[in-house]
Amino acid sequence: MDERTAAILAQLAKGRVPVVPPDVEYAGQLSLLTGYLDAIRVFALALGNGDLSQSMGQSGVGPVAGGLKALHASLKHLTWQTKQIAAGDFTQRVDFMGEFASAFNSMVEGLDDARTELEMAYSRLNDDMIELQRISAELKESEERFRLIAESVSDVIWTLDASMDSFTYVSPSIAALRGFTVEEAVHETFADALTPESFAYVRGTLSEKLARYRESGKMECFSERIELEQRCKDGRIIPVEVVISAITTADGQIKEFVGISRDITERKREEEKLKYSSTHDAMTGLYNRAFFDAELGRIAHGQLFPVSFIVADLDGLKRVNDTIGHNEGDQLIRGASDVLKMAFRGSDVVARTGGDEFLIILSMTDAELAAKSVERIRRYQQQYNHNSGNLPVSISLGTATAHSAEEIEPAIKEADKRMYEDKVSRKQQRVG
Amino acid sequence: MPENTNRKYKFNWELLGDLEVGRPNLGHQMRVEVYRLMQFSFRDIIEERYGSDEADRIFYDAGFLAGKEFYDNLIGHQEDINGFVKKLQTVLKDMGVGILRVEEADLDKGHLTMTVSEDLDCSGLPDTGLELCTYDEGFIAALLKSYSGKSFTVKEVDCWCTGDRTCRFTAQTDEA
Repeated sequence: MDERTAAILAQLAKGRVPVVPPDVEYAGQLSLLTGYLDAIRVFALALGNGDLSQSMGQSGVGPVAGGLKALHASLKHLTWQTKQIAAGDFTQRVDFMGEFASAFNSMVEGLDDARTELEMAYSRLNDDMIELQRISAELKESEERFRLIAESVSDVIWTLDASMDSFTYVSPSIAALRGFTVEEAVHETFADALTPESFAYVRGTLSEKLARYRESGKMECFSERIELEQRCKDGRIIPVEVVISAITTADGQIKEFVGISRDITERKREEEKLKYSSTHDAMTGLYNRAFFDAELGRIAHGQLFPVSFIVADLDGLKRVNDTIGHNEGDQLIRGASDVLKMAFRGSDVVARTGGDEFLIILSMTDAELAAKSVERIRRYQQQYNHNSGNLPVSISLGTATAHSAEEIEPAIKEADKRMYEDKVSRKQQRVG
Repeated sequence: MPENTNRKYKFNWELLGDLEVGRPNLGHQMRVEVYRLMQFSFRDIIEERYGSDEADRIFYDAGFLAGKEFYDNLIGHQEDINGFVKKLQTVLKDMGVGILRVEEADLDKGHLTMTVSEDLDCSGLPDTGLELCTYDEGFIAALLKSYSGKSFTVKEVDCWCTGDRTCRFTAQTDEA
């Protein structure tokens, strides 16, 4: 081998493609070799720069180029696999390129696990959303049902903020109860909606219930009916029965009060009637025996002494009943009752204690004043008999005075005795 | 060429036989050399009698027939290209045919580039400077037609026999 050829081969061994002198006899073959090496260099450089679009074309034959082309093919396949992974195919695995393959596959497995966890989280979230939607639908249905009930009952349903100051809801039946529109009622304060006495009472009651609730945590603390008075738009005061409960938050704090108010005007009226009939005589409107006895008990424990008693007995009732009739007898009783009503104040206790017997309690009245009362009865009796046109009334009377509780019973007996004496005396006067 | 109606062995999958019964001891495996021995002896005789070009055409057609039957019997319907590639990779690897890798797959443009490493036909063969895998070309063309319903022209651009370390095939659909 000549020196020039040796030098050229030495340059080639260092990867340098020599400039071929034109006078070399193997210039054609050397040109093919340098062309081949240059094609490999360009292809390798492109691979090194990450440019996979290059190909070696017709010059890329043989095992030297083949090794680079195998690397090129692997990188192209890796690129394709990466695109598949990016599109969601996490089953892709690299089964070549040694250590890089296991690192890459670990990354894909990690991505797959992360996606699985995300999908599970999404699934749970989706389940939660479905459950939330179901609860929301039920809540909406429940609210609609509540609204329909609240708007169709005659009782007024309302909610009040925890500070017991402002209403947050008032049902439309407020118009029938108090004459206010819902808009007006919601803008009232709690104090405005009640009489001052009722407001003070309910505030005190609620504060007490709240204290009990905070101690016990039991909602039963609120389950009590209370009677209040409310002011109507037209100024009337009406009695209402109210049940107040509380809506609490998850941690037990009072969120709102909820109340139901019912108009009890009619009930109160009936109660008054019942109370009246239990204490009054139906025929005359005077107090009855039961009230009289109860009143005696009150007087016995009071400080209203001296107390005078007048026992009054209607003369001739049996004779009228037997000879003229019971209607006339009843009229006679009513006549005596009218006389007694005219003779006494509303604060005096005038009671019909038997068929023709009446008892009068005069508190803080001594014997002298009692005697004047008897005179007054006589005067009104005379006036009645003159003016009424009914059968004339004749009443026998007796009085006595008690200065202490112990003297009450003896005084009544004494008055009764004196009444009989008066009856006998007046009968004798008529006979005489 | 007119169809030969007097056929002795018109292909069907049953001709592969029942290997469970037929080879209870040796099973499915055999040496690759035996496969290549048969292939190259066929190729030798066919090439000698009909010439190299006709031999290539015969091997391409045989590969096409094999590819169609392979798809029908071992791959089956696949919903998308990824599923198809994955299934094909698995079957080819499991059966020791080769390691299929896809470089590009754009069915909208009707273009694919794929490589087969450790190919049953040619890996390790002497560098003759000539692409050998015409059977594989037909095989791949039939697989793609079976999957997509479209005809493809498949060309081997790199081959072990040209000094490469993997066989690279390009496929381009013939249809617009």
